[in-house]
Amino acid sequence: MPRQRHGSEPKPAGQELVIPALAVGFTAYYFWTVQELAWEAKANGVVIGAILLVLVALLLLRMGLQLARGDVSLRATLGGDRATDRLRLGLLGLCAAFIVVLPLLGTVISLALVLFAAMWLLGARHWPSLIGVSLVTPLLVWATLIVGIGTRFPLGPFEHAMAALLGLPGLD
Amino acid sequence: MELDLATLAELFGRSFSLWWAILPGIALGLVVGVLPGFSPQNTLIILLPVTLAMDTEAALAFMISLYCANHLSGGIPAILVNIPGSGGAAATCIDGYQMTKKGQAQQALVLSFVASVAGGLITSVAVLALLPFLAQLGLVLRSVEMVVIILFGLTLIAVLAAKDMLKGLIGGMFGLMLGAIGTDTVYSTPRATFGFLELYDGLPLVPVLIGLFAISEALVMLEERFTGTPPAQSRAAQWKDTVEGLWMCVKYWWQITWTAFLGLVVGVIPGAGAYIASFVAYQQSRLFSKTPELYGTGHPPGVIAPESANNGVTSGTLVPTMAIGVPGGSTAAVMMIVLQYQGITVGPRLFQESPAIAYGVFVMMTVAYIFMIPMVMPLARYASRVVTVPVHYIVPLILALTVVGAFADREYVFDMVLALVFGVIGYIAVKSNYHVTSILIGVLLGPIFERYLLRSLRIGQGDIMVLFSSPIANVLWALLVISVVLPIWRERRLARTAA
Repeated sequence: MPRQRHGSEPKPAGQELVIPALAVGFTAYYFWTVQELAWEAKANGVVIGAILLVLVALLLLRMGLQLARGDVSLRATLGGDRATDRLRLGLLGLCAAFIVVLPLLGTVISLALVLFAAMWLLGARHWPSLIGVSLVTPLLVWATLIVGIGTRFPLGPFEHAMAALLGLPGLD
Repeated sequence: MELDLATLAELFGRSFSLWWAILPGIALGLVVGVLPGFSPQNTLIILLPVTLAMDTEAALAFMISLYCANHLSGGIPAILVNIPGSGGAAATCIDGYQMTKKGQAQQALVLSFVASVAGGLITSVAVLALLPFLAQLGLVLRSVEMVVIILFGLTLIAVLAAKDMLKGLIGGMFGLMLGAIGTDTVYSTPRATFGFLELYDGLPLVPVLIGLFAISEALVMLEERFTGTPPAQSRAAQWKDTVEGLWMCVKYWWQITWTAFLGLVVGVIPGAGAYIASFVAYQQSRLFSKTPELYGTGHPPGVIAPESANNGVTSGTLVPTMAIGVPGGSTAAVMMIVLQYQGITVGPRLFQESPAIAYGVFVMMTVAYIFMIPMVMPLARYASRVVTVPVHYIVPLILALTVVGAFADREYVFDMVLALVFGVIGYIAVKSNYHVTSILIGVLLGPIFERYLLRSLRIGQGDIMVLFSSPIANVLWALLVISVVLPIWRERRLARTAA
């Protein structure tokens, strides 16, 4: 049974293992992909991977000692409340949805929709600002990045209509 | 290219001709510097599609102006509302806000602006004078030394910038490991690409940067309702206050000068940065003051010292980036990515291969500070209003624009997904005290590290002991070991003393 310092709850430290777990998992995968390659192809990864594994082992050792002293527990928390975490997941979901609809609706319409939905999700209810930001930002992106710089963003009904209307080369 | 007066004059002429990139950079830097938590690298990330499309010199001029102006304006909310716009302005709060409470807000702002501009100007001119010596580094640093320098740089960042050295080191090595994704340079065989063709050229830096910094920071910002609190009512500023502030600056000119140099020295150390520089300057200023008891009560040198050092850091941070190819901080890392995209490899050979860029960066910085002098006063009044922009407008804008920016580099939708993945990794890293800058610098230096390591191993015919074969490298190894062991030893000694 770990000893617990009287008067204080052990600090949750499970979250501190996520990055090392990712690092170790990735290193193992890297070693697996290079096992049959020539030494020149794997030297770099092996040197870095070995150092990384030693560092993670040291972290685990330190955490093990803290656990034994009862200073920390393996409970994981990122410090946010549930409502904010839900908002975070909602925003990430909206970003993922944006990437999915981008080839179908084009950059301007997708961006306008995602901006409006994200601001609404975060509690913005001032209609002029909501509509203004959702319309002006995609139009600026269209004018600077698509028309001005010529980045080949996915085009949709808006971009095609504007290209036909204004006779923009390469966009219709 | 020798750095003589004619060359300097030519570089200054070229920098002044880039006014069209410098002025918007300064204006934008001043405005976003006021937003607490909105760092210069985030602004640069949002604007990546624009900077990547510019020619190299214009892009650099824009980024440097934005960076310097951002360091300057971080002091505005620190003075007016006791919230630092950036980490480097945290020490300014101590006396700056006290001056505001005493009705001396305008004097404090003038002190902050003059100290910042003078500090930035003095140190960028000083670095220009030192550059011919730094350029010699390219002649003595070879592959073996570069391998150790990269590891030493990552270690310093972990020791100085990360809250926990071990986690900082894990972050840096994880980044280096991620930087090893892609085909190898000799046989072009894919390594750890998860089967994605898009990763054969290595991990694309722009989506990684966007994810680790911008997206993760936007997710963290959700915990705040506003980016700051509305400014308290203060007495309307008058011209008399401005003149009084200027007179104080003349009175404390020596304070401005030596704290600027202190900032420069701290800035040169990778990972140290503006936060450490401004607090060190504040402490030292108090230590050598004849009236230390006045610090913390609205004493002018308490504003001058951190602001001057904070801006002295700007040129210092770029020294290791340009001279050895190890970025001194996150904004320098963003600049390095843009330069790499333009085909320019920073590091010891930059002074031989692209001297106009190597020297030009510091000339542009000097010019940016000169342009800032007439711009900063009128903009300050309006910039402080940005503090109260609600998070529910800022966060969606950052997220949407940066995800769009991830596409602009290689024009792959895959990169947008990658940015989101690294956004989540960055968020977890921030919330569990892993230093995201270490991870990014690791990813950035990964391919460069591999190149130098392979070259060294080839010279040593596969023997790893070649890394200990050079006197310079051995000195660097010793410093690396000391920089890791010393903090642990000090911590143990302190713990024993406390017990």
